[in-house]
Amino acid sequence: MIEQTIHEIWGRELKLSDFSDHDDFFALGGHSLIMTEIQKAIAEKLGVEVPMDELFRQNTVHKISTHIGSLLAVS
Amino acid sequence: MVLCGQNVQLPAEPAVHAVVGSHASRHPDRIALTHGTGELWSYGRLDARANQFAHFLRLQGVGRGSIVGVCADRTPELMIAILGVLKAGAAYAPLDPTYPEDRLRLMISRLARMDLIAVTPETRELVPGGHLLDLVELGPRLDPLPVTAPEVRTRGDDLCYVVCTSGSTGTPKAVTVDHRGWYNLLNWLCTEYRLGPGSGGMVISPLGFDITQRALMLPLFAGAAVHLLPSRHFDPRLAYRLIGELGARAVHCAPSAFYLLAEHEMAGGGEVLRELDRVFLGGEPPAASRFADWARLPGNRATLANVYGVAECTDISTAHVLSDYESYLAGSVPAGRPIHNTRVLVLDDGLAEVIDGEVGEICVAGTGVGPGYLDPAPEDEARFVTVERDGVPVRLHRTGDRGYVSATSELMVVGRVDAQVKVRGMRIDLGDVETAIRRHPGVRDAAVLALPDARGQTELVAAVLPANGPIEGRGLRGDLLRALPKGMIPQRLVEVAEFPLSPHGKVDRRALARRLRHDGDGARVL
Repeated sequence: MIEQTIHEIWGRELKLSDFSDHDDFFALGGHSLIMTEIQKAIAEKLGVEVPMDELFRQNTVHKISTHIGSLLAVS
Repeated sequence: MVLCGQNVQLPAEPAVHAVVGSHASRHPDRIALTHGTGELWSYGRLDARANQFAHFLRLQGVGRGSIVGVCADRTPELMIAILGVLKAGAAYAPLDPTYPEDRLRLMISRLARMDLIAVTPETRELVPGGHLLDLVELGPRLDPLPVTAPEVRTRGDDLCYVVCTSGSTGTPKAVTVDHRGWYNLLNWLCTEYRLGPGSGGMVISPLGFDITQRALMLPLFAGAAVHLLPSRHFDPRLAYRLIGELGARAVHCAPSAFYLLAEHEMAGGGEVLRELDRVFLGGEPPAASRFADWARLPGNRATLANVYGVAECTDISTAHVLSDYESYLAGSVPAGRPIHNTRVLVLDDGLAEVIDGEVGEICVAGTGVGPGYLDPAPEDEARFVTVERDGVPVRLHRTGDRGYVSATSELMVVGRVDAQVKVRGMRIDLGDVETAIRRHPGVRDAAVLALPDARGQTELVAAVLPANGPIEGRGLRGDLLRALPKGMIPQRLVEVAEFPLSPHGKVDRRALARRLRHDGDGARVL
């Protein structure tokens, strides 16, 4: 569920349809401005504030979804 | 056409760190630094620790003429390192921890006089080579050293910092700045904008930019608090929240970073920005359309200044305080009038003054004109020239920016004489990016252009000729990520079958730009 939402956000912001949840954000052509849009969309859609440093570290859909899942589980 | 700033007397031996030291001795309990909401440092504590690090550096043989690298996140250790290096009589070279290892290695090799690099536990693994001084690990060795400043006499023409900028051949250029120029800039900012102990500023820009050296030092020069954004990458939502929670009064950033903050506020994020005293925009021309609605909100008390300059001339040469948004929306935001002890000249190719209102190369004379590059290539050295004016030799820097003087006697910037561009505040030589792309084995040739994206903001687009068979886009991006800072990697990579050529057989960049805007003519987006 989270992973699907994040995948949709990435697809929209990166303007890509064909990519895997294990692809590296930057290898897909992502840059920091796109990441700030993703940060904003995650806050709006999932109600979670994810720091930019975390988004840079968890640089695949799968990794960031797992991270957000653990944040939501704690709260 | 010449614009003259006010002449102001500076101390005989202007040393930036000495001003910070005098605040510390008079008001040791005032807050000098914050790092998030959890960490506060008083002037007394910060100054004492920087003095201990300075003594340590002296014991390692550091002194006047030395350059010490600093690779740290926006943490207290960053400020201790910078102040300690200056107090030891040396200059510091900021090394951005977000840059890839290969780029840092190139930068370090340019800073030939540099051997020691101050790091923290978070950054030490990132730095390739050099003798690393981990400020946290060193703690117990600093503790017994004197908390008073070492006896070092700093002169105005001693270097204070060295920043690396993009160079046309793929090798960064090391730009030096001296204490007299930096003191003049900080003193002008304090005077012009009436900054004092209540003028704390939040630092949000990347470590390697010259704007960041100013943002780090100005609050301490004014006797105020420097608020360090506790994030390695720019985080607009965190920055916005902390500006409010810590009560920062000023922000220095590239316009593209400011748009995000202003848009956050316009989307209902709060009233934090309009409560600021000062916003200093610099590093690229501001697009007023991105923040005019915010600027004209009722009750907005923030003063916005557009500051213009190049690293070679100590960061800022002119400034304009924004007020007339109608004219900015119809035209552009002026670069403004010269700061203290600075003259701006608009000259033709023969270095003669152009007539009023005509476009020429923007040249700078005065205190801010720095000593130049470390180990310069001849074409870089030629950017600093001495010309005779009214029978007196004057040292000039040719900025490479093109501009003119408006009817209201303000400098307007219109473009470049060469292939240098500004993307989100980062100064990029297109040749630097092209060199990195050509190193990829599948690439025969590359041409990089700076084009407006869908929102009117500049983006880099690379047209790439394949060597043999289709280029694999992710592989190429992977190579670029290992070679270049992220801000220098083209947002779009487009494979083309050929470059349009001019009658002289060179790449016709205008025709290429037209083609790339439409992604047409058989081009393949990678």
